[in-house]
Amino acid sequence: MRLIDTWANINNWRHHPIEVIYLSMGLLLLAMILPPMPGAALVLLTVTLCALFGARIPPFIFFRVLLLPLTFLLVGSLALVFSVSFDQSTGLEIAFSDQGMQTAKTVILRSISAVSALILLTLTVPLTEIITLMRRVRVPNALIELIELMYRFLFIFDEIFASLLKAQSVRLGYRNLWLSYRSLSSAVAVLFFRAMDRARRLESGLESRGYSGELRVLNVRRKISSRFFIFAVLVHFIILGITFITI
Amino acid sequence: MVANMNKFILEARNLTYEYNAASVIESLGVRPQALSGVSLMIKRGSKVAILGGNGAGKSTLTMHFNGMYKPTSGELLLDGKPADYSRKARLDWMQRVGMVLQDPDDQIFSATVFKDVSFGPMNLGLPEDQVKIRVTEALEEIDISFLAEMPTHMLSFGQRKKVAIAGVVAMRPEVLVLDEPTAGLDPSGVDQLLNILARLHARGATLIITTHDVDLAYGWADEVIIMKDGQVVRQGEPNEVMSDIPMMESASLRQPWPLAMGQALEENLACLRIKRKANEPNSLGDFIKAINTKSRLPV
Ligand SMILES: Nc1ncnc2c1ncn2[C@@H]1O[C@H](COP(=O)(O)OP(=O)(O)OP(=O)(O)O)[C@@H](O)[C@H]1O
Ligand SMILES: [Mg+2]
Repeated sequence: MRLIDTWANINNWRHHPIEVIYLSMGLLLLAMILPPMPGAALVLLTVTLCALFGARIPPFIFFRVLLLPLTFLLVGSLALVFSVSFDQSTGLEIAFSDQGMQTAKTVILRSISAVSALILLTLTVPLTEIITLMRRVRVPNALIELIELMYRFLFIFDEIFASLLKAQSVRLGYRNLWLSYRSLSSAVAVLFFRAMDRARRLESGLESRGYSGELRVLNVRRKISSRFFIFAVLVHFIILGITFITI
Repeated sequence: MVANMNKFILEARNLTYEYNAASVIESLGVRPQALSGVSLMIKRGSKVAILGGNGAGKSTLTMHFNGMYKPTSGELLLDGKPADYSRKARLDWMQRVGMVLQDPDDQIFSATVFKDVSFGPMNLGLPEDQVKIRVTEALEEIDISFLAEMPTHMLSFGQRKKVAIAGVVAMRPEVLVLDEPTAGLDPSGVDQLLNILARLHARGATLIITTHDVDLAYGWADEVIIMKDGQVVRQGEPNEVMSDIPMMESASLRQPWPLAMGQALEENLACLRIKRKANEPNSLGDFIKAINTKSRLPV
């Protein structure tokens, strides 16, 4: 989580959130509506090129983030490839299905390219920018503030939890499985109280800065680069074009 | 307002404060009142250090300075006028008296530094271009312009502390209260902080800090306030107050090293039977104070 957020804030495209959102949303749409071969494959290729050479995300990071949904997909589609049947006479039967294999390929390709478009988005646009945009398109304020606070609290939780685990493990709280269960459960319990306390203190801290029920901050306005925009539109049309020619 | 400016920007008269759970705390055998009868005066434009051991009530007292806590009994005067705890008056008060809490995470909430610092000025209802100017200036003043676009959770403790200070400075308070501003900072961080404080003081701000660091207080403050068990034991000029060894020790405080060294020198001089001139009673203290001032970074 930290890794994704860090790169979202330091990648080469961080100053073009709106263009990147447009680019990746378009790619997501293409991955979903075009026939997976070659449409989804092209999207996957484009996303990879954009992430590695456009936004300059290190390959190591990009593939690591991509690997996570890929494992889920692979495991999940096992069910498509093998059909399990139970018969009184023959007993349990596991069969490899050719048609299932075909379906699995399509599903995997389509989903991984769709997911990759989303990964491009999360790796290159800081959440703060997405929130700014949401504010501009008039998403209700309460919802936006909730998202912002949750975003901040996620990291505070992470910090509190990490320090609790450290406090326990330096005193050998994780020496064996039984102790680990006990330590972990008490850490979770304490996390709850610490988090409540944090929330209370944060509220009075904000009050001392004039907080009166509305979290208003000044958002940096970004200039939209028309060259980037044209690039995004071109990418979309090239993928569309190639797909139609090859069908 | 300028016409009838009071010499004392803040004044506390017999403040008493009990936390909600006072009866429970008492049953545990701990003093129930966090503050019991605190009286003090803060001069406009002065640099005040509040000293005291753990649990002496420093943080509780500072929370009264901007109206965050309302005293259980006693009175607080802001610029000579009794404090008004109505919602509207408190907002105005909190702008005049800026408060930097002990833990920066209690004060920072927004995702990036720039946005976070803009929070206070936005709450003052300023137009956006004004807010932008204030944020930029505050970041410059605290030397963290280069952090403007950083996500707040990617900052070190010292950097977060500076962001918390910038967030309050951007509201341009007359009085800046900092609860243990040097705790957790490395030596160069402390010096940077002192530079920042000197700059704010030069602009006319009144500064109040709490600290355990007697040396820092001795070299920095115009006036020190010593607290113990929820009470003010002494308030006065550092040299005079802090050379009272029994009083300092009873408040869990050491002597500042320049004073300790002075004492040692004096004893040794006596030992060598070199007599000081009788008509210069304070010369040694002044000399040592000069050394101490010199030992800090130039500001
Ligand atoms: N939230 C709270 N609820 C109940 N009692 C509290 C609370 N905060 C502080 N106290 C009590 O009030 C007294 C004064 O605490 P305070 O935090 O003001 O001390 P301090 O001088 O700031 O100490 P330190 O140097 O450790 O920060 C202590 O006895 C403490 O137990
Ligand atoms: Mg304290």
